[in-house]
Amino acid sequence: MRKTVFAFGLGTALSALSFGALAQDQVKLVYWSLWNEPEPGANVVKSLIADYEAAHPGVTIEAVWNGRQNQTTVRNALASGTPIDIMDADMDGLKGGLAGAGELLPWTDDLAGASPDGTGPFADLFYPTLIDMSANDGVSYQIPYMLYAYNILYNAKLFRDAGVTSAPEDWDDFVAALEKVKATGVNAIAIESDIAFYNVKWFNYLLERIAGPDFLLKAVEDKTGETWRDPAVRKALDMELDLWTRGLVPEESRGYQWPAAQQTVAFGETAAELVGSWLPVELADTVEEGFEWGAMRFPAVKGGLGDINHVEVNAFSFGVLKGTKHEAEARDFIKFVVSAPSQQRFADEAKIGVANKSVAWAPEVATARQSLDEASLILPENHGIKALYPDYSTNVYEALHNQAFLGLITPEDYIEQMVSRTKEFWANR
Amino acid sequence: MIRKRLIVLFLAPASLLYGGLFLLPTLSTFYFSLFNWSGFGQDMTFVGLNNYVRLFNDTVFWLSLRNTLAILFVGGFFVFGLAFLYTVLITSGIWGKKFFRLVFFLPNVVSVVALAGMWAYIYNPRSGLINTTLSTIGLDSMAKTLWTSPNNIFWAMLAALVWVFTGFFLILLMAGVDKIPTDTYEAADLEGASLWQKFWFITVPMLWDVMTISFVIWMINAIKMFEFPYAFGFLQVPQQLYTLGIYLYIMGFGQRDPIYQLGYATAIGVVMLVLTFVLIVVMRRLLRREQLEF
Amino acid sequence: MSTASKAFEARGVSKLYGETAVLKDIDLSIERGEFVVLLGPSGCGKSTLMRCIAGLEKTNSGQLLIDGRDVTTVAPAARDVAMVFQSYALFPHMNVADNIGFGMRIAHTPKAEMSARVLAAAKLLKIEHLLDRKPRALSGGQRQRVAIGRAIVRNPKIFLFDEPLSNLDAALRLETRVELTKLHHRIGNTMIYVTHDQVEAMTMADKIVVMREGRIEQIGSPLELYNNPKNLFVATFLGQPPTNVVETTVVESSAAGLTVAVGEDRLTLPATGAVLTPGQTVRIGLRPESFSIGQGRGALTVLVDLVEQLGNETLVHCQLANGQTLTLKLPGQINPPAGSSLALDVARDQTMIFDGDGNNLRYDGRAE
Ligand SMILES: Nc1ncnc2c1ncn2[C@@H]1O[C@H](COP(=O)(O)OP(=O)(O)OP(=O)(O)O)[C@@H](O)[C@H]1O
Ligand SMILES: [Mg+2]
Repeated sequence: MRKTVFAFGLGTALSALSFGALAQDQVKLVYWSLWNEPEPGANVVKSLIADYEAAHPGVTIEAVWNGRQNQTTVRNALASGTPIDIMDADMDGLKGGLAGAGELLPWTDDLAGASPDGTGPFADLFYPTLIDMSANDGVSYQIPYMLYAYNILYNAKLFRDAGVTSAPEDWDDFVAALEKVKATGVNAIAIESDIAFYNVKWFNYLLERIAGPDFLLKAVEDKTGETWRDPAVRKALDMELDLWTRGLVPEESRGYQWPAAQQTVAFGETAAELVGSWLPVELADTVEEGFEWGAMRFPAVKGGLGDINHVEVNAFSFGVLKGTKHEAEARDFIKFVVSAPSQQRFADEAKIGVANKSVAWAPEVATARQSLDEASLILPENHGIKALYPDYSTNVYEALHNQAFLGLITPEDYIEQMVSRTKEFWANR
Repeated sequence: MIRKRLIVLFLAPASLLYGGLFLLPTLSTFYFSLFNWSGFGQDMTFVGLNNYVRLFNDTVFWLSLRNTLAILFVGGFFVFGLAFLYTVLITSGIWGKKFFRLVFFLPNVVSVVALAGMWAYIYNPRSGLINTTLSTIGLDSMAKTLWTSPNNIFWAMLAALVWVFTGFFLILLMAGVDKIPTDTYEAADLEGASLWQKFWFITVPMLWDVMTISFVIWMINAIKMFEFPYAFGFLQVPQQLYTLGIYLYIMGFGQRDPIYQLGYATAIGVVMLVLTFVLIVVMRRLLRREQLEF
Repeated sequence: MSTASKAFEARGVSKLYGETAVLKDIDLSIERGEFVVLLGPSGCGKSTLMRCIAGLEKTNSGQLLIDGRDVTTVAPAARDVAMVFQSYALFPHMNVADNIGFGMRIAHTPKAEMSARVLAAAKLLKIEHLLDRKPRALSGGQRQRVAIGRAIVRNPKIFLFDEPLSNLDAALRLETRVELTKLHHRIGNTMIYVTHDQVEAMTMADKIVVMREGRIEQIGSPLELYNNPKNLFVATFLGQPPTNVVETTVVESSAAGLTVAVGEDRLTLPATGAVLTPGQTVRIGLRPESFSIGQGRGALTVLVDLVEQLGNETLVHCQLANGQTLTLKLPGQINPPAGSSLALDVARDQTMIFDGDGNNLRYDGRAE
């Protein structure tokens, strides 16, 4: 039937197509994207759209490339009545944004149903706990498809040259390894002074390793702010500041504005950076041929309640907007994007990590993937406070940490301010 | 009677325009600031003046206000200091004019993002223009200064911002200076006026109108300052660089985080509006002089 | 008198704007107390010379001396000159008193002395009732006085006026002209005055400096220049209406006199020292007032074109037989009809004879 109509359409006049002569059978999905058009990720999405359209002649997909602030753009467009079917955003952002506001369709039934690969339930396609992590009150409104792990990314050659052959699993060994690296004349750790959300990962991890994965959220939700006086906080702070004292972070990092520090990694002047697994892709054009990337899990702290296999991640997810008129097609397209062959294309061509756990990642990020495979717990950004209390996360938690981390305020000051600002936050709510 | 009707008729378009473009948005801004509203969907919760109470107790708001005022006053001091220095150079007919022009007109034709990138290069601790220059001329201890470290970054941004804005006000002031007849300066020369006396007794009073307007424009720009400090923050604007405009944006639109508090952001906008209005009224009061003719 | 006692002296002063020479080798000396008028057509360099004297422009070569002191490179304020600009250049934001007192104010003169001197200057110019007004509340003439007041109050060695009357209407011009002359008599300072109005020059000047294209053509008292112009340019520049210049052919030149032919007519003029051969063309200058209507047969016959009645005198525009035009200024009221012919007598002593280069062959150099 479709074919005949299509042939008929071609036979009469091509222009008739654009006038919607075939509107009844033709579905147009509007997808607003977090990618910028020239990015490798966008190219993969484009090729997937082309393939999908070829396989589904009745469906066309119109992509609008908005970049990372897509959710804000979508919000404003929705307010003015623009029809949008599919959008994507940072997972925690989406959770605190459109999903939280009830603007997305739930995926509960689909996730319980069959996977597009035909290999068991749909939910099992993803890294364990990823789906749970992204849910709002137990209901999933988003389908993750890109995945980045926060690890210590390092230049494997520099570590080898320093005689460090196996990844240290404990903080003291880690520091010792960095000292060895430093002794060879390169800088150990790269820090961008102005990117608070990079720097806070040190604190997130240390706090987790010392006091366990629930501590941070507990401290934030303590309306008296007193939990911030817990010795674990001071300990985590002292440990990260020790990196500066030891000169493992070069003093001049206090003046580095992104991407100044990661450039030194690319040039082989600095050995390691705690950052998401997007870094190898970001630096792909800058590093020399044969640059060997390694990724190690953030080390454990002796006697701590956390675990080296707890990994903080960042993900990108799709959502289907409540107002869509083509719900079935929209869901179908998203399933197509998270199916193994599509995800493989992201991994191969854009060299990014993906949410589908059956897909092999590019060599640059293979070790990052390994840390996820071994992970016993996957933690969302800032252990969930980014999605739950985004203004606190940005204005209080990350901002104050950066000041303490860069020596603008003392640890004592930091703790006092965290107590009072947490109180202020809850009082103002 | 007919006259009156005609007047109403003629004033109608202007009043509509004024009402539509200024009054209505202002009033509706205030209206929205009385709600909690995420901007998703329609549900808005009326909270009265709560957003303002919250602002009053918000450390980051005060920090943003302080930064904004620092831009307004400290930045303004240097922007106009440099612009005036140039007008003095012009009237003195000595060196430096072309250099000034080249240096200060550039930012008017380059995008803000490119400018921010350029300054990042200038300030880079190791390979930056300033520090490499300092070390070549032997000032090694100064060459170790971290211009963009958290304690300096605001001032580093402000220095760059002064540079970005000086050219524009230079053009305004120059247009004013051009209108001052040269023989006025020559008359002063014959009376033995120094460069400074000419500036103070002739340029300033004869430029008064242009200056007042320039100050107003600067004030409006400074209070809503957003683009340059935002671009200067690249991936994530450090809190040290927050202005009211940036804080409004962060709270209403989120930068990297899903903070969607439009009602609160709107309250910041109202504060900015009131601040602008009050400062302009005060300034116009202070600077009021009779009209000049020359 | 020694050179040092001259109020002003220019020695070989030149001024270039880029490639163009605007002043060329200017030599000029002015006695103390003299009223000197710089006269010349527009663009001849009068203002430039004045601005060089004031120090507002740098000279390219030569020397400027004021009271014997070399001021060539001295700053304007230190030259002890005051200038009244054509535009007056008043400070619009200051009242009259502040305008006049500006120089004293920036020199930190005590307040009492300052007001006393301002008041004295204002009284001299009869503007003491205007001291509180801003320039925009003054008439053109009043502004002009304020500008003069600003100069007077400094009691400079030299006053410089650059066409100070050109913005005034005719009546006010006449009045101010007289007052300026009186003022000069009263205060006695040296004054240099630029104009391109030859009536102003004739009436005000002790000495006129006629300039053309950056050069000084002639210097002398008004009557010297009128009666004994050095060349055709000076001769035609002074006098209103201008001197008639008529092309003639030499008939006979001897110690007794010079006879030239103007068409059919013959004109016999006093002899010149120059050698002129019969048949040679010379131009003669005839002042409009040097004609009278001949009794019977005059020396020149003309046809009347147009008659302009001025009341006390009459201007008659007419043509010689060969087509050259003449303007006559005749006393009283006469009214020859257009097209009629007139026989004219010429006052021979007032005629001028110019050679091919325009030099006045009857110029008496000793007069200077
Ligand atoms: N700044 C300048 N640059 C170049 N040429 C100039 C400049 N000022 C004056 N000139 C030229 O110098 C010549 C003399 O100018 P000046 O103003 O002295 O003439 P003037 O005799 O005062 O004429 P006027 O009677 O019209 O005022 C003119 O040809 C003028 O074009
Ligand atoms: Mg002139």
